[in-house]
Amino acid sequence: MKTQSIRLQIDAEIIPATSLGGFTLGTPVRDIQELITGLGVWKAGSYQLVLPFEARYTFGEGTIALSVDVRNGKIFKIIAGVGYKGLLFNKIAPGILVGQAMQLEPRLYYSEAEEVILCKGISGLTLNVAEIDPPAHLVPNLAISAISVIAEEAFTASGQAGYW
Amino acid sequence: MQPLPFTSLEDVFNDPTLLMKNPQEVWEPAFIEALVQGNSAWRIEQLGRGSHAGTGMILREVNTNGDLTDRIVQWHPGGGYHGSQPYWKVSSGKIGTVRIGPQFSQP
Repeated sequence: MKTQSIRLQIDAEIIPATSLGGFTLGTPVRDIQELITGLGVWKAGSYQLVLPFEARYTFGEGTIALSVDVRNGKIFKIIAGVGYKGLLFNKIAPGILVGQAMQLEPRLYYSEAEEVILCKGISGLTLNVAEIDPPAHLVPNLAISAISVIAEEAFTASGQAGYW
Repeated sequence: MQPLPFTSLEDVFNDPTLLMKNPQEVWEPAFIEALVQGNSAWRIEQLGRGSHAGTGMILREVNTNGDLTDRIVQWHPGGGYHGSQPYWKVSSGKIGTVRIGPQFSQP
């Protein structure tokens, strides 16, 4: 049996399309099952199906969460919430205002269609505000509620069918 | 059952207000899902890109190479910034982002 030494790292660098919080995209959920066992019972956290094929595991109060594609068991998204200590691009963390983040990193922009903040030229990265579908002009005054790294291969045509 | 006043999402991109069923409500997602069922040019998003838990429906257009185009049709169940009533959002590079629902003034 494979044993893993993966552990939560609240201060790990946020690396788009790759890793966050000590987790690496594409890792099979079986490799982190020791961290998940007991969530919401004897470990602070929770788990739920947020979409029919997306299982979400939240650690603690949401400082780190990860999403698994239940069709292949692989981590396709890792989320840093408010309180996460690691930085994106060495300067951006959840909790700061979007407008402030845009000043620090001018490539950031809000996609009203996608309802996330994206970074021009950088794949595998989304930033969220807590509000659902806000008008674009309001977004700079809202705080970043989460920064996510995602496996882009999960969002191709075959990836959306579970083959990635 | 009341028939849809359009036969394809192409019609919707030409006139997003077709998604209004009547002045008080929009067409339910089941009607639109039935419209694109078996159509390989449209796919229903199965995994979410952001941190919000998914509650609506996102349809993305796929071109003949299997790549996504810039055309997206989304259904929101309501309850967020735009109030409790469900609404549709139609987005493309050509028309920008248009929200359709009884809570919005129509374009």
